[in-house]
Amino acid sequence: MRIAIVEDAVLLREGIGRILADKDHEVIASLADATDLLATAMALEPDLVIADVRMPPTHTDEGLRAAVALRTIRPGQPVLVLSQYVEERYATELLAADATAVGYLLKERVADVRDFVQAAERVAAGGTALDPEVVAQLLGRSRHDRLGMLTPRERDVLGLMAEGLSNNGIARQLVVGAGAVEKHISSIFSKLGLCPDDADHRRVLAVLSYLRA
Amino acid sequence: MGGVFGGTARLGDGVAAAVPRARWSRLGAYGDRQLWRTQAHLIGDLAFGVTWSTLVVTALALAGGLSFTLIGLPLLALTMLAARPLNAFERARARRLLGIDLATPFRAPPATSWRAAARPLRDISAWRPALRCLLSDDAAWRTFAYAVVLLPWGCFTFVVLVTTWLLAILGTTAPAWGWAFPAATGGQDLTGGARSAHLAAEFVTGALAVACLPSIVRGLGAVDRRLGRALLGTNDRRALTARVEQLRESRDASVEGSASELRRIERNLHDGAQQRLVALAIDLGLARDRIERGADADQVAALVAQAHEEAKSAVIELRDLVRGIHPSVLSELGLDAALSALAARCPVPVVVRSRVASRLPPPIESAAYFLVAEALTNVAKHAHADAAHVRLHERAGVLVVEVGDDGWGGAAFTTGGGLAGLQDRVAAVEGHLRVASPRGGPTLLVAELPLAAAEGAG
Repeated sequence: MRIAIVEDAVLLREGIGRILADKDHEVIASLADATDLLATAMALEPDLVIADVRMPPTHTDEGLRAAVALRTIRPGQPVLVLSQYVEERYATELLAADATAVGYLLKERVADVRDFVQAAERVAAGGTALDPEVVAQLLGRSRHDRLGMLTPRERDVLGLMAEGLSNNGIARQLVVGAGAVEKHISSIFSKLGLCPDDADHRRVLAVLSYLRA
Repeated sequence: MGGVFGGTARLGDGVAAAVPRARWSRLGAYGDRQLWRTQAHLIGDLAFGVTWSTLVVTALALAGGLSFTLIGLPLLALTMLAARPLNAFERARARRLLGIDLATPFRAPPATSWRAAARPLRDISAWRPALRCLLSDDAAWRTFAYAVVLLPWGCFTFVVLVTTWLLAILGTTAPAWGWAFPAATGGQDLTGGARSAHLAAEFVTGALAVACLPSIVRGLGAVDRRLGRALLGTNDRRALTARVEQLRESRDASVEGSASELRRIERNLHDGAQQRLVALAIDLGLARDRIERGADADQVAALVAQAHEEAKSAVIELRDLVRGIHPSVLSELGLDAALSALAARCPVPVVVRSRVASRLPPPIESAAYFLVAEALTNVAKHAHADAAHVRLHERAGVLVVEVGDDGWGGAAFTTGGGLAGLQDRVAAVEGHLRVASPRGGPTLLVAELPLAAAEGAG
């Protein structure tokens, strides 16, 4: 996988590079701010762009702005956005158009090397990676009474679905069989009145829009 | 019997002793120096009332009349300025003779250089605000009102005092010399008993005047004091309004100061320790991953060594940051030691000279410390200086902090700049900051931090 990293903190930029290199991915561009991101991405066509939300010069949300702009110019460009804090607005903006090949993670997830690389690979392959904390916020804030009908296990599965995990990923995370996961999912969909969908990213979108509504 | 006599005698002794004491206490008022001082003030009221009101009325009328000519405005400005010495003189007179201590109602002149003060002389456009400032000075107008009121009041007190004294002196001494002069009532010479009755009446009047004079003087003196308090001293309401305004400004500054301080801490944490810790976590995560995959010990050891370095760096960053929030040496050893530590860390050689009490109020110590810290940072970063100095001394309840360098100069207050931040810090403890930094240097920064405000707040 050929990856471009946009991150102003040198230590983190190099750290991410080390992790990815360790898993045999190639960092083709390391940028310290978002100004050159569009040009670089157009020229190098990376398989994945990893961008920090907050970057110079204003230290607000330049990274996110650049990522959104990049996806408008290059639809389907996989982008993984890293953030210091959980900011649901950022996730919403990123996922607004479509939830394919998008990730939004807290920076500290980088330290869970294997999960981070898996999330990066999932996004590059067209999947979704949403930070568990964002999902927890969505679940906590959701006003749907129907959520109360879910069993604790089903709530876990719903959360992992919202994070963007596939059935296999969910099964691995919960240490259960794939069949059990499928059973939970169909139960969740029928309880919430959602149409079951096989494609992971469309499923994520359905779950998220249900939670946000 | 002897016992009864003895008792009466004792009673008589008592009465005899009581009477002169009562008389003495009344006449004793004349032994009170304050009575004479008050009279001196009352007599002075006429003399100075004539002088001041003549000068003030003439000057104001002249200035008003000439206001359309070129010399009218300077004359008006001079008149307004002349209120200050006039006010000071009258306050001194009141302090000396009436025993009332009035604070000056005039605001301290803004701390500007002579060059700035003389600017209106060269630049006609600077006239207007300067004059408006002078004309709107309510203390000057109250002083003028005092001068004008003093004239009729002085006449009145003079007449009352002189009359009372004449009555007292002539009346009480009348029995001694009255016989020598013929007295007449209704065209008929008084003789014999009538003459004696007349002289007795004159004596009684004189005695009454003697008895009443102290009270009259006290009453007039009380009016004088009121007049002085109302027109010469500070205007309480205005002083309060000014104080409220000053407090509002200092509160704004301290709110802004702490907000920018929090931003600074957040940025430092974000850019510093947090990054180190993330990098540390990444290295440990990679090491763990390799161990789980069964990588060889050398590879893992390198990662762990790197993580170890990151952890130590994070500790140092945190320590520096904590020192930036509140240095422990400051609270433990005081300003002197903390400033020496600051000076030692500055890349430019710094001479610290401190002549202050061992410990000052904590807010002042903290303000002075960060002021010097920031100033020295500026010196190191921008001044291109070979040497710097820090001087501290206490003067009339104010801590004066001076930071100077021999660098390039050219430091200026810009919004969001380092100097503006310093000014916020100083304003938060109701202090003043002045900076002289001509292009080419040297730069001198003087902060005055009042100790009383901090104690009151603390």
